Amino acid sequence: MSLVAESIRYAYRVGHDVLTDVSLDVEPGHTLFVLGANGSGKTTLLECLSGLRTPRTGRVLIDGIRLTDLGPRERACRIGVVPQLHEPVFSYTVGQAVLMGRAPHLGLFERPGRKDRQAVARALNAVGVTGLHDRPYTGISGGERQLVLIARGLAQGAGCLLMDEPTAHLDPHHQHDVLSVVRQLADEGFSFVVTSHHPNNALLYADEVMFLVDGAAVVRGEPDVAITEDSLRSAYGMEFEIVRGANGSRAVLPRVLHPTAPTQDAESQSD
Amino acid sequence: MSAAPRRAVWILILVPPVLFLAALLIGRYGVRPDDAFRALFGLGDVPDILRSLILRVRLPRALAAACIGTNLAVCGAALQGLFRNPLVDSRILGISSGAAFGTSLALLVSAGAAAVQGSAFAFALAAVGLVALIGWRFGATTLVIVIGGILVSALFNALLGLIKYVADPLGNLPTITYWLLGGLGGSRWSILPPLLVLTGLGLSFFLLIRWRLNLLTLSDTEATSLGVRIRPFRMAVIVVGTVMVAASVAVGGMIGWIGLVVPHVARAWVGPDHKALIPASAAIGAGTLLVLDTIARTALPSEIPLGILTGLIGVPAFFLLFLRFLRARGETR
Amino acid sequence: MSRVLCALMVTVLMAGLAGAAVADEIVEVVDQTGASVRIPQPVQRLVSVYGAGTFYVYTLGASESLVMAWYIGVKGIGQASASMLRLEPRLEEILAFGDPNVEEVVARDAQLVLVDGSRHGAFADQMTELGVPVIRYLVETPDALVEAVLLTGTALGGTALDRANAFIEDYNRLLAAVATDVGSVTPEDRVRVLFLGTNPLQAASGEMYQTFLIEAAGGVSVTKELAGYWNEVNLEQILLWNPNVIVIPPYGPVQPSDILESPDWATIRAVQDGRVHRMPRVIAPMDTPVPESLLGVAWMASRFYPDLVRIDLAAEIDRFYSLYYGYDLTDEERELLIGR
Repeated sequence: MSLVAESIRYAYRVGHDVLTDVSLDVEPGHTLFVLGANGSGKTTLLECLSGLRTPRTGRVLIDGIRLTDLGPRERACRIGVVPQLHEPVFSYTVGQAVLMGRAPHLGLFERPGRKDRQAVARALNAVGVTGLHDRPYTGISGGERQLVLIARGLAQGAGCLLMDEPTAHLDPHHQHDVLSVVRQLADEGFSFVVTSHHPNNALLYADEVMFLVDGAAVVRGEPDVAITEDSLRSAYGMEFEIVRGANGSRAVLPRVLHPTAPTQDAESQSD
Repeated sequence: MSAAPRRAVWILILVPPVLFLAALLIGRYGVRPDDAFRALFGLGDVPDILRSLILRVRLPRALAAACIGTNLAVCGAALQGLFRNPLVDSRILGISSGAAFGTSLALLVSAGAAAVQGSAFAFALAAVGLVALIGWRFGATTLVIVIGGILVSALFNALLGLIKYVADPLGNLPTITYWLLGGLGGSRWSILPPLLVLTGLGLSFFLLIRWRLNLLTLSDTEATSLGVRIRPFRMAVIVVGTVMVAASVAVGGMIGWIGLVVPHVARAWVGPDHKALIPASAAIGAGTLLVLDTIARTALPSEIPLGILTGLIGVPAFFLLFLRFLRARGETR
Repeated sequence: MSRVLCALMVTVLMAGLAGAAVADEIVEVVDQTGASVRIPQPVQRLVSVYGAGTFYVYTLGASESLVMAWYIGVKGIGQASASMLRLEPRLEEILAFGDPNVEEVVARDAQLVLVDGSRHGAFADQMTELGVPVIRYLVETPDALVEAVLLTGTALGGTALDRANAFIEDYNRLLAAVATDVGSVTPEDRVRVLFLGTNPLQAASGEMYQTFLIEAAGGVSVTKELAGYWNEVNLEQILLWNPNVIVIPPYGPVQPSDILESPDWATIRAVQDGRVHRMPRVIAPMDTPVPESLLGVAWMASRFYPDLVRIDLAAEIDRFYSLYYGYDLTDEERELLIGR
């Protein structure tokens, strides 16, 4: 599913633009990471892409169709939203939670049938958590919960998933679990837009990276190209250095003085 | 639905009919089962007084108890999902206060039974309408709706106090006071049709949409992204629930705790999936009220107000559920 | 000088004596809560907060001294019947209702206040503190009624006391006549009576005045075992009791037709025999602790045992109202009291 945004602008109040002239283009199999400081407009961007909010100017197209031409159900069959982790009030099982993703396919007075349960099984399988089907959602780890939410998006039948900070609250192992599933699904043809506060994850898992600064897309491109000390500085307002690992991988480090290290160590580590 | 909840629901559905039949057989007036059976189905030679007792006194009363129990429990379950808060029931929207005021006003002027029911209805809808208006004006977040409900309840409660002050102790005041404590003593065929019809319609509605109710427990963003039109859906749930509760209050007065506690018991049994929760709540609600009403009319020569019985049972039940809840979360021994 | 002084002293002495001669006489009574009350005579400004007690005052012929009165069952001038207005032309001026207002009572310069001992305790205490004599009544049985009438007669003195004694004589005579007439009825044959309240599913308890009246009339109250005040009952219990006669009080919205025409009540003996009666009312409600309750007993007895009771109800009613209220019944009123 291809998702295209053309010059979208959004403002909550007249004169206070939260997004200005943002364009993006996500093809099937593609993962786009959106990086930016708090308040830079990442969440608003996701809401415009999912159709929750309508841009003031510009448009969003899914598979070439304008989002505004689609009803809520039709949108839901194409685009899924994977929200940030939160504590639910009722303890549904994983199976029940993912089943809710079938809503756009069911009529007002319909209840899920065999077809829907099969879709749930497939979705759980795709993200590798089939065994969790009957476990309560509140009783699994954060990483597993995030995967379950992705499964729900898949059960929706969506080809494009918008993920709002999926790695927040997760330890490094779980972060890797989740993002490698994303990587794998992308290989199977799904497309993803992921907002994140972790440039390092973008370096490892993204096909494309976009920096939002005060609602404007300042850089867009492949990770190696887009993530530079300059773009990091303008996005986060502090100094970073990019270091290279032994196997060619890259990592982003904030340029701060280690309290006990002598200053020359910092220089000898940089490239 | 997985196996265990489905089994539980089937068991639960079988219980109310049994309790219903028991309610027809139990009472201060001793009736032999075979006589009751004959009276019920119009067979054979049964004394007029027995026939009247079964068909005109116990049958309408049992129906009223079953309907009201169902209405209160189902509406409570739906509202708990809608507000994502297990501590609410119909009182949160001021429905009960509005209906109480409407009924008392009609009783004050000695209006006929039809006018009493109509008044209960009208003011229950007015209360919910006011809350909706507050929500519309100030943004329909749950916080605003809850505060709106508190304000509207307080308003109608104050007006109710005024009615009680003005009412004549030698006239309608004892009736009003007693009615406010809740009771089904006045159940008779002439006032039952609206309750039966509205219970049937309301319950059908909730059974049809019961799976979709799960979607209301998601955040607004999530639900919208799943293609749900939240506002109309929410309004529909609130309106149908209000109608069911108003019809119940018009017949039975203020019967509390059923809407709050029964969904919790049902949830403990069949889980939070509304696909099982709605029918389970309906069954447990109907059964509970049938049992309590049988006690209310049989234990003493005079009627024990039903609202008092539901309170006496509801409070410890809720406390036990609360303890269970805390233990499950590991917050207490 | 000493002569002037002497004359002055004599004058003062005589004035004192004269003053003593015309000083108020004081009557001391013990009210029904056991409190001792000193009442300066004569009582010319009387306030009756006790709705039933007001009617004692009328019965004793002292109604002219009322400056402010509560009337049982009359909560506003709109609720006063034509008969009431005929009885008391000053009704609009002296009628009061709701909770008693201390200042208003004081403003009327009350010399004696009659209150309900079970309800107006705080108000009575305030009056006592202001130095106004207060009589507290507790009347829930006919015996207590007699005591209350006598107490009031004593408190008001003079002709009031004579009237009180006359009333007690009539009371004893009428009740004895009823007892004689129904004396031949065996306990099993006694009429079983259900006394309703202001809605068809409300009944008077066994502790209430109504039950005593029923028993004085030779009947048996089916609600004898109920305690407290008005009780809510249900139709099943009423079917179980299956009363011979159903009595509806003279106030409230319930009419005999409501019961007689309802299919839910059709199998009850009283309904099948058509023995559902609403007590009539001209002045005060006959089922409350007022002197008219004497007529209430006679009325009930004639309904319970129409073949046995030989009291001339018409004559008794006429006598009562003209003797004790100074009130001439119109033909309609007489019809009302006897007709049903």
